[in-house]
Amino acid sequence: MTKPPTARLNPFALPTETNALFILLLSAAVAVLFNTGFTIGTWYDNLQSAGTSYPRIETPADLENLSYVKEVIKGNIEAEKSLLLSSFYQLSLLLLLPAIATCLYLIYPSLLRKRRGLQKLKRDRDPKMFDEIGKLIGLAKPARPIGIEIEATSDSTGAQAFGLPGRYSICFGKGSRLLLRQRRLHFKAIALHEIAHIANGDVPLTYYAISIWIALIAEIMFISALYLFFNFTPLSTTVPTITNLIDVFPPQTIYLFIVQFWTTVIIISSILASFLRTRELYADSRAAQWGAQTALSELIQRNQADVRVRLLHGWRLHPALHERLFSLENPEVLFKAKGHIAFFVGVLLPYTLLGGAFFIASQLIWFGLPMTNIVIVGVGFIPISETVRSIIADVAVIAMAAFALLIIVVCFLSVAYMISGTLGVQIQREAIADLALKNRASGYQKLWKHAVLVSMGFVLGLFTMPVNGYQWIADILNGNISYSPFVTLTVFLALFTICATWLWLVYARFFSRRIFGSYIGTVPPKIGWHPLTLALSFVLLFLYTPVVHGYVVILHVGHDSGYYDPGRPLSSLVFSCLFALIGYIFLFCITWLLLKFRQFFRKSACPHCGFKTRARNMMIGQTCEKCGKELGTWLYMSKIIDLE
Amino acid sequence: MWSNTMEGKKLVSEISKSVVIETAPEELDIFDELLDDYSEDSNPGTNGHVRDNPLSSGLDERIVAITTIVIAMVKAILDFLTTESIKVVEAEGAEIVKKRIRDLLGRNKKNDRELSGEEKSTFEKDQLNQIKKVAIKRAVQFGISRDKAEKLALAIIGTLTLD
Ligand SMILES: [Zn+2]
Ligand SMILES: [Zn+2]
Repeated sequence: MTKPPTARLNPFALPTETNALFILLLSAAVAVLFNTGFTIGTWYDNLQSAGTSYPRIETPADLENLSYVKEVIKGNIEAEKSLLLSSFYQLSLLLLLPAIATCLYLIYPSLLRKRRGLQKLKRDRDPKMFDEIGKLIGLAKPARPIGIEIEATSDSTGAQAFGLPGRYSICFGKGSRLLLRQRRLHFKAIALHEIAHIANGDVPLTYYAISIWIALIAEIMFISALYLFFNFTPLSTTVPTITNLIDVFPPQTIYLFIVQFWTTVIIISSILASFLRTRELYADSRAAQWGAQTALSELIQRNQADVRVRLLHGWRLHPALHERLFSLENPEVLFKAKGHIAFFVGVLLPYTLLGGAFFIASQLIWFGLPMTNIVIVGVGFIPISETVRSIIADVAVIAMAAFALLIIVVCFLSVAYMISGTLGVQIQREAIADLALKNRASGYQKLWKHAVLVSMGFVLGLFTMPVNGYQWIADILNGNISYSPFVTLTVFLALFTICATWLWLVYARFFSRRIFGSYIGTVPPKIGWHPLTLALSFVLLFLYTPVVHGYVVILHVGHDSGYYDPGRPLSSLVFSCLFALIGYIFLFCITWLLLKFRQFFRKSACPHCGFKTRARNMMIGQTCEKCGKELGTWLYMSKIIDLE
Repeated sequence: MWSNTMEGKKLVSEISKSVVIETAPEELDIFDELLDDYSEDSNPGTNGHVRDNPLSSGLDERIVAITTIVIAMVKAILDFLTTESIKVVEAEGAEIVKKRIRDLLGRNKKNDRELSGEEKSTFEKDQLNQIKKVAIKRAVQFGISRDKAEKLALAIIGTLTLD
């Protein structure tokens, strides 16, 4: 039931799901370590005390008292020092991750060569194979030559692309030489699949993703071990200096941490597994464009018949064979926004938006306060008039606040951009493909599924994020504080996240249909860096304001567990929900007007005959009035190469 | 076993090669390497296994060269014949055993042939069946179907008797 080649959508016309999953994995690794870093040191307590409990200049009279001035400076420097020290642990954990990962990444090729006993394939050893692969590599038109290596021992017919950018290699099992002689087309299919990995650019991503994963697991294991060691051994009391690194918590909190750490590890591992599976589908798809479709299908079916191999696939580091076969025959399924992306984005929301951006922002404010105190003292001793002095002091405070605000916006915006660049882009991909395939039905209803998945992930993330508003779970379990505010707030946040996410997805789908639907030509649009993706980030920021607000309320409730007025935080939340909604409607209208305005002045030329037409909303999937050819050529595959 | 001696190896290679020319000519250009591989490791199970390597194509198989199977079969036949000959002519020396095998196989050089004219024998029917059985048994160990094994066995016997 394969479609005629000319009607096939090109999965590489828009940023792929592989890239989205890689970005998610990287963000997850950074966010998780950032959050884990909070659990080290007495960071959180320092935060609380630094801004409030250190002395400051209140009146001009304070400046007369020199010993008090000394106290102010000393106290505030002390505060900065302890803040810096505790963020040092956090920072070193964070910096250690790329350091370890990069080392692993760089040594991997030589490690692989050693372990598998790889030898460079010289032409005189097997001219037939050498020339055959050379011809296939030619299809990919690589910028730098690709090396061919042979395993010394394994009889496998498999192959694996590896190596650092610019120095890629493909290693073949010794069985490949036989496969070339017994079933030439199957050999070509396997070789093309590997060349496709290189052409798709996922080789460095793959090895870096794996390196990051290994580095992260190592760090989390190390931290877990530290916790257990210092909390459950007599050493924790006898070596107080080291203990300062690690807070001593009651056992239930420790168990909670360990569970949180390891749930986090499971989530990250499943992002990695999804990434590894997805890249295979795209490599198959590229190889199919080079003519390997039939041969690949045959190979997949052969493997399907082989129960032994199928059992191994229970690990699911490869896509299920039926899934592979299906996407090979229906490349348009690669345009479907997958539910797991939405779920992972949901899980990462608390880690990045709340644990990440929110905490960076509050850290900066706490850092800023002692610094402003010191600046004010300094200004106090400059021989200028009292008014100028107070103006300078005010400016210093405002500058500090503005700087903090800028950082806050940058932090939040980059998180929002990460989400727009992954989930948002996938939704845009789907919207464009739906246009081309003329799937009009239930496009916006489909988005509910993603919204619910984001919300489910969000709730899971709230509970698994190490050190969060919910670390009072341990207190709740002990019956120290009441659980009802947490339940109410969580349910509220979950429901709100569903609605906000749906609205956001509607914006993404609605406008990508109108913007990319009217985009014609031969070169694909840069969707990842498109103004629409940036606009999506702003819209997301507005829509998620109540989420951050709700989280602050949770933190607040957790801290002041003694008193709780259920009406107060909820009513303030309703206010921020309204703010979000109005912001959304406003941005929606602005975007719509801008688009209308642009469309009014824009003409589009047919990429085939140059015939100029007024730009319409939906030109994808339609043909030129004059020459009758497809207008959105960029979305379709060029001619498929014949492998024979 | 005699088939592991220099002379025996040469014979195995000679016979196998002519069978491969017939049955799997596409493997001929890597015949020597496959022969070397076989003498390094003749076990059908251990050389190379498919690991679930997440970084490879996911479509790995372990395939066996027809050449490898043929070599194994020829060697099995020679070994069988050696033991049989020893049973018959236990008293005779090693040199004579070798000669007898070569005679049995009718592969003596033409100038030798006249000398052993009356001894030159083609295989008897039940002997042939036994040889076939031994060869098929060995081939099946490599995981190929009985059908295919039988075809290969016939090709080998054909080479042995007609040459
Ligand atoms: Zn035209
Ligand atoms: Zn692959």
